[in-house]
This record gives sequence, structure tokens and C-alpha cells, in this order.
Amino acid sequence: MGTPLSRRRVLVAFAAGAGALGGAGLLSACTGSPAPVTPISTVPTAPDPLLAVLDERVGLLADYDAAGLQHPELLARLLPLRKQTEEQVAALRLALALPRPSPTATGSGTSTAAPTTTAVPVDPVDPAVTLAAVRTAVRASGSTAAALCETTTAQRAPLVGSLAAAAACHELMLR
Amino acid sequence: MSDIDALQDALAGEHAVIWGYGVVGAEVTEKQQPDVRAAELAHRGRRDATAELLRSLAAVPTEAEAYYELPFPVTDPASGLRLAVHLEAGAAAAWRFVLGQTDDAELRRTALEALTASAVQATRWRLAAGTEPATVAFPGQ
Repeated sequence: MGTPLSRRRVLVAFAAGAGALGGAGLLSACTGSPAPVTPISTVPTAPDPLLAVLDERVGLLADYDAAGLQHPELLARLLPLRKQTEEQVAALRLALALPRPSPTATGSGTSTAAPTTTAVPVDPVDPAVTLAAVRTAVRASGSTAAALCETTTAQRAPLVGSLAAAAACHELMLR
Repeated sequence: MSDIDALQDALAGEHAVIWGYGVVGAEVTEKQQPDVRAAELAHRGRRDATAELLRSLAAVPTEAEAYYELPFPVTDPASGLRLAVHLEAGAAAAWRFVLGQTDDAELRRTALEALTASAVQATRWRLAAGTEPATVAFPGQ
């Protein structure tokens, strides 16, 4: 068995490629044998589309952090939204059967290999400009979830739909 | 449960919400009446569209009950707003449930629109009531 870090990397790579079969990846990684991963003929080649939803929510956490850091006066508004976004990230990880992130790992890069979580541009002076940028990112995350809600499995549709609705509500709070 | 059963539940929910907004309207302040009226109208539209959808699926739409039990005493503007939040949260839950009962993309879209509208309206009522936070992480759950 490898170090926790290398085990995590195996899991992430597996989850990105094999989607819902992440549970099987967890099992094989824990026994130290990655062999069962490849022979499964039903492993889809495309990444699980729910990963895109997760990625955007993880990206929002970075957006909230960047915005709050630059404009502390926005923190009271942003923190409740950030907290709920964190809950959403946790739920998405569960739905994707991803392992919990280790305490040392930061949010970005834990869902897929690509580090797509560059925070929104923060205006150094005008909090309204920063808020608008965050709002745009929230709306985009809602659109991704709404689109997936139409095509995803019946099991996932309630969660994905709920995330789309939540984005609309968060957007309202950022106006 | 089929998508028709889930739609019937959502329709029953819309009936209850419309009835409930009558109670809300009787308790909230004059200033809030237009918002109550607009929210109620949105649900009347949703109710009619859902009944029509059910008829198009060869089902007989569920009728409204004559009376509904309130979840708590509604006696003043504050409890009126609390009831409004409760109504929208209930509608959101019913529509969220529909999402898991169908693979039909169009019905999913309809259900998501309703879920989102109720979630946003619930947020507006929480803002009006001064409830914090005004949003929830998983509307309809």
C-alpha cells in the first residue's frame, strides 16, 4: 500500500475516468492492487458529467475566498453562501463516490486532474464589480447543473436539480 | 411510483400552496400583499399547467381539498411569512421528487423550473422575514 497521497492520486485518476464505479476504485486502491480497474469492459471513456458540476462548485469556494479576502465588508454576505457551497461539494463527492479530501489538500484539483479553479477576477477597489463576477460564476454553475438535470440518471436528478435551484437562490443573494 | 403519480403529488401540493396563500394574505402587512398575490398567481399558473399536463397524459388531475391543516398557528405577519416559506419549501420538495421519477427531459425541465421558482420565492420570503441564512444548500430536500 502506498502513502496516503499516492493512494489519493490513484483514486482521483480512477474517479475521473470511471465515474460511478469510484467505489470499486476505492476498494482496489485500499488493497493495494489497481488491477481490477482496467479489465472492466463497461468503464466509460468520457468523464462523469457530474465532475463538471463538482469542479464549478469547488471553483466557487475559491471565488468566495478571493472576493472576501479583497473586500472584507462582503464577508457577512458571502460566508453563508460559501458554507452552503461547501455542503454541496461534500454531497457531490458522495454522489461521485470520491474520497473525502485530506486536511492538507486544498479544494482545487481534488475532483479532476485539471486545475480549473482559478478564482474570478477580483476588483481591487469596487466590491460591486467583484460581487458581479462571483454572481456570474454562480449563474454558470447553475446552468451546468440545470442542463445536466435533464439528462442525468433518475437517482441523481433530484440532487442536480436542487443544486441548480440553489444557484438561482445564491445569485439572488449576490445582487 | 410513476411520473404521473409524482405529478399528481406535485399538483396536490400546488392546490395546498394556493389555499395556504389565502391564509398568508390574511395575516401579512398591507405592504406585502402585492408579493403574496404575485406568488399565489405563479402557483395558480403552475397548478393549471400541471393539470393540463396530466390530462395530456390521459390522467384525471387531482382535485383540491376543501380544507388543509396548518403546520403551526398563523396569527400575525411573522407567522404568515413563516407559513409562506413553509408553502414554498413544500412545493419545492414535491417538484424535486418529480425529478427522480422520470427520465423524460421535458418533464425534468418543467419540474426543475417549478423547483427553482419555489426555492427562489422561499428565499424572498426568508429575506422579508429577516431569517438568516435566507437560502438553503439543497432546496426541496
